Amino acid sequence: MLAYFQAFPSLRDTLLLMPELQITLFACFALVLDVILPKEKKRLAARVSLLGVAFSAASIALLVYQYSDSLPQKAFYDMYVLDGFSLFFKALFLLAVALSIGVTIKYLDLEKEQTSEYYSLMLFSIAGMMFLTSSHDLISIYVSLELITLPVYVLVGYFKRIPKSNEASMKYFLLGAFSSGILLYGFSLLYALTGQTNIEAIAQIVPEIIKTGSATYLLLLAIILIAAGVLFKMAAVPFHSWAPDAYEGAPTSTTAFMSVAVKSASYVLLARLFFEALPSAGSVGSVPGWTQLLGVIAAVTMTIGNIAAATQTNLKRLLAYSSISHAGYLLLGAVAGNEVGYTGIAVYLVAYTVMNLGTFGVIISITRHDEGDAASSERNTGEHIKDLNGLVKKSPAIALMMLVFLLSLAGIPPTAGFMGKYLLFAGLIKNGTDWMTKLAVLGVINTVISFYYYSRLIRVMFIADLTEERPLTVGKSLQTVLLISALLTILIGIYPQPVIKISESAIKQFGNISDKASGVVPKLNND
Amino acid sequence: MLTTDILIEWLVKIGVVFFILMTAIAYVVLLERRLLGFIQMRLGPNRVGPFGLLQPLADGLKFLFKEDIVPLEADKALYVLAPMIALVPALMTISVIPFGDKIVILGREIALHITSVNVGLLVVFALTSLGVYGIALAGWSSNSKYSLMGGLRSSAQLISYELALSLSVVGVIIFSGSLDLVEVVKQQNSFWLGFIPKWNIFTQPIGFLIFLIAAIAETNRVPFDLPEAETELVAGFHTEYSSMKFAMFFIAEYANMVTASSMATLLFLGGWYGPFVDKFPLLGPIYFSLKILFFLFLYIWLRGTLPRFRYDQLMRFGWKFLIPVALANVVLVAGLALLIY
Amino acid sequence: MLKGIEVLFFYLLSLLCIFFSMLTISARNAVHSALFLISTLISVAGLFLLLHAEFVAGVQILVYVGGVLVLFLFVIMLVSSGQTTRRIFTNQFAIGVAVATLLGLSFFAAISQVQATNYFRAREAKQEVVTKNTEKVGLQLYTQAVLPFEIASLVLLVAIVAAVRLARDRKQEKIFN
Repeated sequence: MLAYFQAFPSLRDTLLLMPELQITLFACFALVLDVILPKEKKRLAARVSLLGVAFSAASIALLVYQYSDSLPQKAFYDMYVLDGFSLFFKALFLLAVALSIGVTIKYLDLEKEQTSEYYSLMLFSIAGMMFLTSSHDLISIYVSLELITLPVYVLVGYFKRIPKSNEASMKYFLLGAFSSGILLYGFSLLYALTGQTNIEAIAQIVPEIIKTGSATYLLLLAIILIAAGVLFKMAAVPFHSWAPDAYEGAPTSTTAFMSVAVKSASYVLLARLFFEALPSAGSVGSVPGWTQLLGVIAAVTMTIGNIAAATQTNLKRLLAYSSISHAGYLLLGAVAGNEVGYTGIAVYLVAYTVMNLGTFGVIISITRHDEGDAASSERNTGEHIKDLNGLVKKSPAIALMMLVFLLSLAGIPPTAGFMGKYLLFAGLIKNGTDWMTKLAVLGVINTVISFYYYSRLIRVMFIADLTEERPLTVGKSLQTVLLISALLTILIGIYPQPVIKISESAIKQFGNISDKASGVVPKLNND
Repeated sequence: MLTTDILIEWLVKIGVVFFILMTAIAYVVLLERRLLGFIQMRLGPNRVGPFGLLQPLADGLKFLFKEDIVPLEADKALYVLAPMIALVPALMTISVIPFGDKIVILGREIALHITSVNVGLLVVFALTSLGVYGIALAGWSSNSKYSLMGGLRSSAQLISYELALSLSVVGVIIFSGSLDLVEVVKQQNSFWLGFIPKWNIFTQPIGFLIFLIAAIAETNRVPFDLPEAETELVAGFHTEYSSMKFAMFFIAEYANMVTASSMATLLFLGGWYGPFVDKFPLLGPIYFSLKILFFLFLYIWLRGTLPRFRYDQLMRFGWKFLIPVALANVVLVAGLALLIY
Repeated sequence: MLKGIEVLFFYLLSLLCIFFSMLTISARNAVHSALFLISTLISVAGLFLLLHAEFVAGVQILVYVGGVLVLFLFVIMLVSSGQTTRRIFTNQFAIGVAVATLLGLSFFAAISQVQATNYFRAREAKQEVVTKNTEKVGLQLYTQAVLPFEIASLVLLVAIVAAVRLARDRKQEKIFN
């Protein structure tokens, strides 16, 4: 009997889990509040959720303080790892969810559906993301992934009365489940090949397989299936078709949350699987090499995303396509496969979180309801480009902030978006391969294309006449979110050194392997 | 390795057990009719043979010679398949049920069970959970609204009560530390204070009651016989069935009753153990049969006594009462196990 | 390694599994499709038995066949009264076949390479026969896999919340609020 107890995880293990535990606890708390609180007081749940985020952030700070010299810390039979990478992304996710909650309060008020379940589901999803950052095993990676996506399916279809929302949820759910299946299939092949589920153990066996050349095709197949699953989650071409529908149909606050948090989570997945478990994937002896394949996908994703975005008139749809193109930019960092590129991914994700949430915040601030038709599907004013008309005359402050966000999305200095893109392209150029340099050029061309449609929005905001006379109704929470996002966007643009430094320390652990991973056979280490 | 004599032993065992089971089922039906008659102060079937003892034979012949009707709009393949799906798992379950310890016949040591699986309990549950498809598909393929309602009710009911059933058994597994039914019985062998048998019913009476209730619900018997509630649904899922196909459902139902009774005996009443079993192992199957008979009597008694649940009452009782109590019981028994062992 | 009659069973069950899963996706009637899925799952349980994973086989039948798919069937029977569906997505059929063929061929290539190099046979030597697998599964769940186990319980909690949220209609919400 005693032996069983000794096998249980120790107190230290549980302490490492504190940030996730607190988020989970507060998610459950918000769930209970939904039953207790009367309808008009449901906003309290949002405050409680924010409190949970604050607690979780505090425990992350404590963990950093305690373990910053002795990372990585492993726990739960090596299923869980606390390293710079996971701490960085946990903090990023908390930032994203804090801003999302701020946006959500206002949006649910608008929709007259202020319910605590929304916050609870959001927190559950974030808990899943935080588990994912620390997962060091295929099993826990998969289970955390399910915890991330399941709440989001519901959040997308949260307004049952709106057919568009239902449709979006259904599409997202079906394709999401499908992609999870593909991912799982890849995992199972990887397990068959290595006999291991632990990331570190896999990373040791994979070079062996490549060296002996005994099962390279099966390995390549596993890699392709896993990659397909991951690319599905990040909405990269050719697995992007769900994104515009899901982004457009979902409640705007959910779109904001999805486009930043879930997207970042998919890059965490990419990093854990491809930078850590399969570092030498590029060397599988196959005709287009892995890196080249990723390069092509990145190029196509950027281009298609930007071109499609240029033709949209619905703001949410436009941002959906723009988010697809951003997925392409982010993949460039993975293609570069060096420290600069990886740092670029991390910095860009931070920048993307603040600027995209800010943009969605502005969209929510101009969302209004025409009286009495809350049930019709075309009821939202504020989703069309022309709803931005003459925003500057109504509220110069918000127009100015929107300007900052849009410039940042387009990658114009001195904004956060510029810093991120700069690092991503620099990574490609630093790598030095001929085609990578060309890819960087393509990236710059894409930035120009994107500037075309972002500037269209800027134009209608500043030049066009007012078409909608009703005043804006910006709540206190939304104001705070917009202000924080705008400040951060500019701050990171002007003074990026702290963020870059933290990002570098976060991806440091992938550095020594990945510097060599660009299409050349890496030397076998670990012996 | 599979030798000829083992094969013959298997075949003989299967044949004997199958014969006994079928006979038992036939006479349980008679017992039910006579007992119900007694409870309702009437005679019951007593014309065919002495005390009506040949009645099952007559019933069987009648089923064989009745016209077999397949409704025109029915899904023919499934309509034919459904009774088989109901019957086969019901009969298969008996193969893992031990009804005694080893005995010696003709110089051979023979274990009194057809086969011993180290996850026997799981096999029983898996097989009984397959039985629901027979009922659900019969309801659906008949293409009749009464049948469909019966099929729907049964699938909802069986799912709901299976949870409670499985949870109630967890306590027994904690005590025995094995899913092997022989192990489960052997763990109940000894005595407390020299005379109270170590049956699980004494250590976990709550678990026993939950098991009993859930098992009655799982076998679709009164007061849980909603799938065939004749006052509302004509005859429920087998409304459209006749002849041997109907008989197959009938046999399946009684086979399930026998299975449920023997499971209750094995898990909670010490299986084949009783006085002097150690000296005369042949007493084992007799004790086992008597214990089963007790449960079968209980089944019939309930049928004669209790009214049927309303559907919403059934669901509320299952989900809001039985499952929480079963969960609490698991915690309780786990605590008890820590104290005892 | 499988020996003697086990090999026969392996091929039989594998073929059945493939056969039924193909029928699952090609059946026009939703109830038939569900039944073929059930048959597939039972064949998979048989494969587990061949691997001497009795517990997993039993749980496979108990949970999937006896639980999940009964609910599937319940919903299908409740919603559709047995009409067969038209074939939709006709224009994607050719692409589907092409992708499936490509995938099949690449699997064939991958497996034949593994066969040729004896990759799995070389690894197999390290494995041991597992006895008492019920206990092993239980111990693994509460030691090695305790973290994913707990996360999975969170997933289930979320699933319940999600189901309630999606199934509760406005009338009921009015009652509860």
